[in-house]
Amino acid sequence: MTEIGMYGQQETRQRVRPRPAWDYLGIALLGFGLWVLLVESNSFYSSVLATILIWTIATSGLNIIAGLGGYPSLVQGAFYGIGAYGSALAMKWGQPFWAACIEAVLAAGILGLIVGLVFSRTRGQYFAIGTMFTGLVVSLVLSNWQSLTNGLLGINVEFGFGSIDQLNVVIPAAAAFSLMLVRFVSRRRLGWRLLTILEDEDLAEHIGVPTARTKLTGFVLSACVGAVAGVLIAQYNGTISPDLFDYYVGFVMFVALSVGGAGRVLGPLLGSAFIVGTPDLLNLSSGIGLLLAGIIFVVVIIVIPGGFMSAIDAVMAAASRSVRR
Amino acid sequence: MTEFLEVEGASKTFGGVRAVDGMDIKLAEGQICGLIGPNGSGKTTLLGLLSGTYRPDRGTIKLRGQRLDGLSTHRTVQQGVARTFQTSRLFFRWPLGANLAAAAAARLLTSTGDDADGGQEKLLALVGLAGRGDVVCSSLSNAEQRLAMLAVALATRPHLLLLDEPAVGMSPAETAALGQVIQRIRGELGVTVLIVEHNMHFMMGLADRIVAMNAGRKLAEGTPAEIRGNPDVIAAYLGS
Amino acid sequence: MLIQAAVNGVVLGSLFALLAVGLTLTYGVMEVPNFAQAGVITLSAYAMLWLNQTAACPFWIAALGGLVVGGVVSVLTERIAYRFVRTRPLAAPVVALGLLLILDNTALILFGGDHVSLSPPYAGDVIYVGSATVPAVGVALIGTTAVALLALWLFLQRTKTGRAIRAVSQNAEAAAILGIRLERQYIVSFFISGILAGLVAFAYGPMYAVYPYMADAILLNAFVVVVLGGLGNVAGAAVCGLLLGLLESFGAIYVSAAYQNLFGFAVLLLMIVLRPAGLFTNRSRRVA
Repeated sequence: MTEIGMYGQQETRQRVRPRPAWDYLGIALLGFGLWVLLVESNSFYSSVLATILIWTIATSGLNIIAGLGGYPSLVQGAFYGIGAYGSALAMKWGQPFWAACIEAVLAAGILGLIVGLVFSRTRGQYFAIGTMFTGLVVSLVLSNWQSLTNGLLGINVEFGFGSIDQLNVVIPAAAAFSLMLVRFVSRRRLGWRLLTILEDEDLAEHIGVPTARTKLTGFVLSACVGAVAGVLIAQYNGTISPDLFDYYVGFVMFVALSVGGAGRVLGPLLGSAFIVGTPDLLNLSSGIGLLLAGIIFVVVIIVIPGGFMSAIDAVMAAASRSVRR
Repeated sequence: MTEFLEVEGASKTFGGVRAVDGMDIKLAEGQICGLIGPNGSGKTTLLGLLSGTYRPDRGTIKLRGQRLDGLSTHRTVQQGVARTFQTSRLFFRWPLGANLAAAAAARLLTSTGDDADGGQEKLLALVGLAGRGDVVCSSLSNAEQRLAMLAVALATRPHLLLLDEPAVGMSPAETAALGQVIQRIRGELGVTVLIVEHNMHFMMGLADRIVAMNAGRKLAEGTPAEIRGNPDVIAAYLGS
Repeated sequence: MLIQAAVNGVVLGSLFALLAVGLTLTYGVMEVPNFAQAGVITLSAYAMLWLNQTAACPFWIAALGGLVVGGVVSVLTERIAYRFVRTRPLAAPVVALGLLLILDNTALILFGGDHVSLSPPYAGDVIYVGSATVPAVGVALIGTTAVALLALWLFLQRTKTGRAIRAVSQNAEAAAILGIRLERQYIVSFFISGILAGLVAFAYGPMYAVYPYMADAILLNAFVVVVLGGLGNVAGAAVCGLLLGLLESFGAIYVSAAYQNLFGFAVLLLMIVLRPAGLFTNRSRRVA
């Protein structure tokens, strides 16, 4: 019979999923490959890759509420920021690194709970607008609360790992884990409940899905994962400032997820690679790089509205059809 | 003895309009009850009250002695109430089997929604969609979609099934088949059914009892034969 | 102090109203938030600047030229990009971001990143209202907004095209059935929106400065207004623009200048949660 699987955002054909072990193994191998890439590249490419991987973590978290659940959250940047500032400040106040991380993630989770409750009856574009402005408020507070955050000057972050090598292992590992997390969640109760909410929230409620509770759980989980990414960017950069978590960041993270393929495990990786990589790698003289990036964004999303994963789907479907012939 | 379903004095007002005004209904287990009335008489609102979409302003609703009024929709489902809608509602991008699995899982609190194969097939056979489990719901015909919606509601293992104009858009043959399906739902699954319908012919042959509503209130109640001959009911329909 | 706050509020409110009306017009027609409007404003401002300074046109001709540029660029964004994502609301933010990058960076490449000033002949003049002062450019802003809103109102109420736009904004499907050619209405809406953007450039440029990202910040406030007034509701946007301007102005003077934006945002959050359809919309828009 039919199992509830990850049907994603695009038109459905029934896909028979291979044994899950293969998926996890594949992601693990991917993580390993990314680690190799990270340590072998020169410092410019390596820093771009590190940013891409950290963004992958944040957008994977976003994938839970926005990809699986269909709720366009534009506030992921704020949780990212809380992860960074939370861990940095906690260490400044004497907490050991591991405790600081936990506290930062907890803080993000609590904010996620509050925001989720506030917007529990808000949907669609209003949810998007509301969360975007929440992100705005958070970044305004972070920039203006001088005594806490040193305002626009930012703060230095104490290095919490044993060595740079450790950090270089943790980043791709965490990215891989975040992808696995989405894969895992999607097959468990939370995941398919979110998928029913994506398809038809009212119908989901009528078949017994506790939609309010499910959405809240998804949102809080997304926030916590976003905070983890924030902890890592703080560690990687060594210093953080509020403009790193401007509301704009939450917006662009959503864009990255959409471009990569919302609701798909690898979507966040592809999307982050594209969104972060394109401007950085096209770093031509003033403006031209970003101009090209803008053009590419528009063209890509018009040509493949389902994101890169949907294009890959189409290619693989065409390939398997021609193989069968 | 507690009735299976007991609605007492239920009222619901929307912005000044009394959609449902002091309704009393008692259903015994295993009955098929028809709910008729002209447009705007409050039938769909009453269904909404029973399914938890609305909370009654006054009155109580009890299913097997348990209070339903005030419960959210998903909790009424947990209590054993399922409903279908005037327009076909399904997870259209999913295959029918996945729809059924989701409904069954939500009710049984299992983790992935894998239902015993036997269960799904039996349900599909009951509604007349045997073997259609792998079809994506958007590809089903209109009549098939309405039957599918029925199957999905049944997958939640309800004690009480609320049907909101289930025969809409069906041909006479399809409607007759639907009638048989509903009989089997009552007979084989022991589910109590409350149907809102405009199709009098369909109702007359199917229902044990009929409740007629007008302007939010109960107008008359009785066997189909009694209702058919009731002058108030006839007047209400002609006058609307 | 009170009068100064009020005066500042009216100036700010006029800016918000002008900006928000341009946004809400296209929002109503195609349910796409047009962040690229900021880029249109920028290019319009630069066009005026170029015409006035490099091409040595008289200021008013340059202003007119800027308006036309605004209209044309806006229509281009619809024809080249937005048109393709009308049925895909989740793709719209991506398009909006891409367009913004394109427009802002086109300005950057063509004109450089320095802050330049657009100086109308009356720049530097100051007018006194009681104990308060308002720069002439501020008065020009108020005047521009008033004239623009009046003209727009007349257009939407009295002309065939205007009524068609209103119809499409209320219910696109019904309008199409009634024979209204949707494509044409979209183009006209975007053109008007572009003209309004040009007016913002004309009024706002002299007040602050012209540079590639000049409009990005105030666009957010305009967005607040659009939501408060009801997506697609022109009158609502105008009124709420003024209200928000007053609110922020008083907030800045009496509470805290740093958190000026916060008041607007807080009100917006309250609105979204309590009454997402806006203060003035009584028809129920799809909330989901």
